[in-house]
Amino acid sequence: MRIGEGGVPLPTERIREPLRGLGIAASGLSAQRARLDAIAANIANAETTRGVDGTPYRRKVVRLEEVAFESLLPGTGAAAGEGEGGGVRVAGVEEDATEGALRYDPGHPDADAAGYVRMPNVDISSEMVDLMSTRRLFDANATVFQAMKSILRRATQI
Amino acid sequence: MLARLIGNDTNVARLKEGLDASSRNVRGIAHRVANAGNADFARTLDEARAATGAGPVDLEREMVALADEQLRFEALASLLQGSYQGLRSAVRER
Repeated sequence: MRIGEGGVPLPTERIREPLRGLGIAASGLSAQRARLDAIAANIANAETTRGVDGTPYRRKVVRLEEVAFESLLPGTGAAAGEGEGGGVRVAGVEEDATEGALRYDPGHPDADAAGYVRMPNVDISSEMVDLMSTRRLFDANATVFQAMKSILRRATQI
Repeated sequence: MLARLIGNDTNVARLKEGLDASSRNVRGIAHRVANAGNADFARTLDEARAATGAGPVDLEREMVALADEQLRFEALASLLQGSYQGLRSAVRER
């Protein structure tokens, strides 16, 4: 520990960015936004029998990934500048590989010889359930963001 | 002399530590809430919690902890402000 004038120790570790906490909450907000986009695409394409590659639309699933949180590892404070400081990121948007249901509709242009059409593997009710949980998590992250903001504001008023 | 008023072994230093701990806790809560929709994270967190004997984390508990931490920060900040106010009035002799 370095000692400054008058015996007051100088800070040795890098001062933490105060706004990093807001970044964590913001990453949660964008992750839920990405899930919302996927749900919107799934519901919009619930009856799409011809996707971009000509096959029935497949349900999109957002895969989330944790961003390492430095404070969870004590003693790594010095190297903390390299880390991204926690939160979540979208690791990718993947397709649900399960087959959709077959619907008997001989007049449909995409019907096979027996008159069946392969439908997308989108289940509207499970999408609606996902939508509700996404919205709730979005709200939770927004609340955390607000709390963090009020804490930062209070800290500037000391 | 001044170092002893605002140095390492005074109220001010302890309150600062408290503020640091509080904002660290809030960042931890933010991290867990941000990862609430992340199935992999929830699984590892549940395992870690089970190992320490604590129950799994749910969103409601995190939000309660957040409100709690916010009040703690507020209280600590007010106390720190009071300490500085005391020092200031001692410096100004009024």
